[in-house]
Amino acid sequence: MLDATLLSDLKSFDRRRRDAALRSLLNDAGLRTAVHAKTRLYDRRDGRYDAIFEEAFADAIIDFYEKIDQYDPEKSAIRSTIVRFARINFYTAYRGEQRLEARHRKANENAAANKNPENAFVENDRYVRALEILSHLGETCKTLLLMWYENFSFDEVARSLGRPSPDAAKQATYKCREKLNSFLVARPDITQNF
Amino acid sequence: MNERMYDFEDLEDYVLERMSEPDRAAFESAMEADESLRRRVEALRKEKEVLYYLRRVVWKEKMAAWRAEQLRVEIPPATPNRDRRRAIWLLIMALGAVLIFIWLWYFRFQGSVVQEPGLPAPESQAVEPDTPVQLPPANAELNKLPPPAASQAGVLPENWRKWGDRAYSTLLEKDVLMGATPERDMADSILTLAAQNRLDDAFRLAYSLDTTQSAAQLHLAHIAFLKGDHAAAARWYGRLKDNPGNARFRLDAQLDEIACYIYLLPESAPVLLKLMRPVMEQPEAFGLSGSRLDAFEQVWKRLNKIE
Repeated sequence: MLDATLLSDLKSFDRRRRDAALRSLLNDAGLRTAVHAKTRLYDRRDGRYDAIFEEAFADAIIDFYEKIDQYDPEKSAIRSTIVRFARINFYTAYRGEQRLEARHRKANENAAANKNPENAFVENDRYVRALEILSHLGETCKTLLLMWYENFSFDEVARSLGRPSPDAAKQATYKCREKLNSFLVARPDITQNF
Repeated sequence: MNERMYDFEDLEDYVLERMSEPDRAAFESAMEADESLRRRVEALRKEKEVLYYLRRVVWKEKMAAWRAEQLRVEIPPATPNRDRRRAIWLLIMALGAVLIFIWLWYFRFQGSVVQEPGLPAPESQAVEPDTPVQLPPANAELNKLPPPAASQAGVLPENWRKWGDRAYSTLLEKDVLMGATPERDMADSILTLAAQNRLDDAFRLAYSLDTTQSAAQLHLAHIAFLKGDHAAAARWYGRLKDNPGNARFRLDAQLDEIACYIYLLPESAPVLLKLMRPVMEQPEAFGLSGSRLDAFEQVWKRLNKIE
């Protein structure tokens, strides 16, 4: 897909076009090969970094999408920008993984030396908390809130979700926001680290 | 103002600073009095941050699903360049190994691929190397000679053994292989088998030729010599020497015959005396000189002492 087409699809407020563009980037074999070439550690092909690679690559596409308003096609191609982002993400995640491994190793060593339940290593990251929030909101609220967050018009929201009118979509969105607000009030531990 | 009067839109107005100053002051005083109102405002301030992260999570899940779907469709999965290069190199190395193997195989069996006629029906001397060579009766006197005595080999100077080993290869220099193409091919095959130390096969192949011809006799004599069967070699050299068609190598054959009988000393002493006499009387006429002449003279003196 040409850069100009990709760019217009990604900037469009048509969710199908945007999703199709994101999907084409995600499954672009040439782009993946370029990222592979830039993340040589991955080339050991022992499967150890598969998950990190996938995560870094998906993050890079999302990062690019989030910064699309700042993107200047005159300065670099879309794929080059994504490769650069993916490389940074990969090595950041890789170093994080190394540190985490070291911490686990140390924790295991300590646990072996002095068995104590209080020393157990507990990791409650943002991802787990986000999943908790999503499961509380339900599928409809999740879609409504994200569309609202992405500045879709209520007209578009109404058409996407089969609401009778933009006003109905607006009311539903507000109810979902209240629901989220109530949940966050009830669970301050979740919002602490956001 | 009671906190229950503040709904979600009021909270949003406060966070987005859309309230008038008196309303704002009232709201803030209500917040100080009401912990839950303050927490609702805090949660609202976090809303965008939470939604930002939620959106990333949702997208990543969506992308993971897209990727899984794509992987199911892709056959085979995309291979990184490096793997492809590695596969190409492995293929090239494998091909190289195969070519080297074929090359070695060709040189190992080069002689075998040359036309090699069907070997004759098993001759006792050919199939079983330990069996003494059975020759057609040519010279009753020579056939009476006893079998070779290995212990006598040591009486010869070392360079004689080298001369014997080299003898066969010099056939080429002597232009013995002249003739029609099939004959040359046959000679090539015999020489190759001999060079591979497959002396029994070489002997069988040579024996399948017309043994009344000098070329076949020369082959058989040299092969018998290389096999260490000096008695048989002496008999074949004798036949070659007496062959009327062998005018060219008569003197060589005579010297080779003597050499074989030297290996068979002392039993061969009477025959050797008879054969060596004309040679030692006129050594230059036989082209005998140098170390070979010295060795012949040593043997000749010993024979005369025995006599």
